[in-house]
Amino acid sequence: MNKTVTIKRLATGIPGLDDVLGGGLPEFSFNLIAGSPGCGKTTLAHQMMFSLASSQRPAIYFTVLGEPPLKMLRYQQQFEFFDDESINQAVHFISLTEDMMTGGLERVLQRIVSEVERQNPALVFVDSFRSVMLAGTTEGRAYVDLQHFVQQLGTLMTSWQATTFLIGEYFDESNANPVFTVADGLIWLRQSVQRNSMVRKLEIMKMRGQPTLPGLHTFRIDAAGIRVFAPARVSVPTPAISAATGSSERLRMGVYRLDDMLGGGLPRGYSMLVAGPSGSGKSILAAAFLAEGARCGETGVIAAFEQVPNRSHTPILAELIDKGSVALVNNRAPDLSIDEIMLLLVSEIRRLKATRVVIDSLSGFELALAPTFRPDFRENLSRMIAALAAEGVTVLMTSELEDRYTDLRFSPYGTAFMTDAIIVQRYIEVDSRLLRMMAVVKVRGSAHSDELRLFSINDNGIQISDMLTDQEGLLGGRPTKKGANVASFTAGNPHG
Amino acid sequence: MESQESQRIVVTLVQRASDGVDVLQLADFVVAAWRTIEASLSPIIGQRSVATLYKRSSYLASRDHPWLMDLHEGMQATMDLDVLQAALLEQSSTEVAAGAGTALKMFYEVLTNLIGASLTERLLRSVWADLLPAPAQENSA
Repeated sequence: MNKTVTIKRLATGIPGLDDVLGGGLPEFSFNLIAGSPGCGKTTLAHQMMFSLASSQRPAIYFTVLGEPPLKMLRYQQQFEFFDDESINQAVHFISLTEDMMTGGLERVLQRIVSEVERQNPALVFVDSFRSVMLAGTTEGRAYVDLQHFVQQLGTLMTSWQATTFLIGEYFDESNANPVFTVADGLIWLRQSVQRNSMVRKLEIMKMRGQPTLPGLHTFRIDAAGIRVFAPARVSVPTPAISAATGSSERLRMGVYRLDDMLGGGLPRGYSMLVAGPSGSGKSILAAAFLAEGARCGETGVIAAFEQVPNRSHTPILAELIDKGSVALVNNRAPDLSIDEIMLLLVSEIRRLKATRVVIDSLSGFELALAPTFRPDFRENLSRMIAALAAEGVTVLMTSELEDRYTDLRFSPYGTAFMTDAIIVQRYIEVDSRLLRMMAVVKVRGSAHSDELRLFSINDNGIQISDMLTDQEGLLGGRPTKKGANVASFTAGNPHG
Repeated sequence: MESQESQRIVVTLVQRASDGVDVLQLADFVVAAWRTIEASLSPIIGQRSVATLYKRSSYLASRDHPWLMDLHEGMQATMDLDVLQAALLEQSSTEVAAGAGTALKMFYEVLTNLIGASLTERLLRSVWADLLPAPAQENSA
C-alpha cells in the first residue's frame, strides 16, 4: 500500500494552463493570483471558478474592496464561460465590503470563516487582496496583520478542504512579501508593451509539489476567456510515428527531377529549408510539395505569413484548402507568439492527421510575431522544429534570401543548421537574361545531387532543366563561358 | 427594457389597489418587496450598492411621482424602509400602487441594464417567487 498522500490535481478549464501548471491545480492548495490592474486576474479567477464549481463542489467568491461586485458581474458576464444558472447554486458571490469598512481584517476573516463553515465550499476566492493589504496599512500594523490574516486563512482553508485563491494587485515581486511564503501557488500575470503591441504573459512563480513549466507563457483574453499558449514540448513519439520517421521512406516533392536531385525524394520526417530571393519560386515549390502529398492521399497544413493562398496566385493550393486536404493557419493577431502558432499547427496536424507541413515563410513569420518575441525567434524556431519532428510530420520552410553574390547564405536567421535538408534558389544573368538556378545543398544522411540546375516556372509549376555545363561562376550571379576569360584576356592583350 | 417580472409587480399592485386593499396593506407589501430584494442582493453586491440602486430607481420613478425623491437625503449606506413606509402611508392606494410599483419596476430595469436580463432574473428569482402569485403556465416551462 502506498503510504504517501496522493494530491489530486484539478483541471482548471483554462486551455493551456494545466500544462503550464504541471498537470493542473493541486486540490486544497492556497494560491495567489497577482499582477497589475487590467492584467486579467479577475477573469482568470472567474474562468477557473465557473469551470471547477458544481453543486457538489460549490465555490464562494468573496469581494472585498476592489472592483465593485456590480461592475464585476457586468463585465465578467461578457465571457462565454460565465454561467448565470450556476449563480446561487454552484457559485456564490459574497460582498465583504461592509465587513472591511466596519471591522477591518479581523471582521473579514471571521466572516469568511463563518461563510465557509456554513456553505462548505470546495473553492474559495478572495478578491482583491490589495484592498486587504491597504486596510492593514491604515492600521499601522500592515505586515503583522497581513501575515496573521493570510496565515490563518491559509490554515483554515486547507483544513476545511477548500482550494483557495487570493487575487491581488501591485505586489512587488522583488520584495519578499510574507504572503508569498504562506502560499502554495503563486500565479503572476503581466502585460508587456512594446511599440504598439501588447502581449499578456503568465508565470507560475511557485506551485508546491509539482513540476511547472518555468518562464513566461503568453496568454490571450478573448470572448471565450483566457487561453494560455503553453510552449511546444517534444513529446515521446508514438510507435506509429517512430516507425514512420525511422523508415527509409521518401516523400515525392511534386517537381519533376527534384526527387532525383534529393537522392530519391525527401526522407519522411525531415525538415527542409528552401531559401531563395524574392520571386524565385519558393512558395510554388512549397505548394507543389503539398499538392504531391494530396495526390498520394496525404493531408497537409500550411502556415502562410506572406500571401494567403488564393486562386490567382496558387490555384492548386487554394483548391486543396477548399477541399480540406490542406489546412491553412493564418493568424495575424498583434500579440502572436511562436507558441501560439505551434499550438495551431499541432491542432490542425492532429485534426487532419497531416503528414506534410509548410511554413511560408520564416521571414514573414518573424515579422508577424509581436515585437517582444522577435529577439528569441531563432531559439523558439529551433524548439518548434523539434516539436514538429516529434509529431512525425515532414516540414518544408521557405526563407527569403538576400541575393548577395559575394557570400553564399541560406538563411538570415542561421536556421540552416536546424534543418535536415536545404534547397537553394538563385538568380543568374546569362546572355542578358535573368535565369533561375536551383541546387540541393544538404540532405542529412543521404547522398544527393551536387548539380546547379536551371529551372523555370510556367503554368504547370517548376520545370527543372539541365546544368549549364558550359558556364562557370554561377554562384557569383554573372557566370561566364568556360575559357572565355582566357580568350578575352588574350584578345585584350595583343602584346601577350 | 421592460421585463415580464417588472411589469407583473406593477400589475399586482394596481390590481390590489383596485380590489380595495387598503394603503396599510399595500405599504406592507411594498416594504416587504424591498426587504426581500435587499436580503437577496446585499450579500452579493453589498448593502451600499443596493441602497444606491434603490435611490436611483426612486429618482427615475419620481418624474411621475415626485414624493418618492423626498425619501432620500444625501448618501445612504442602507435602505431606510421605515421612511418609505411612512411616506407610503401618506399617499392614496392608487398612488402607492402606481408610484411604488414604478420604483420597483425601475429597480428591476436599472439592474437589468447593468448586469443583463438573465443574471437579474437569476438573482431576483426568489424575490418574485416570494411576492407574486405563481407564474403563468407558459413561464414555468
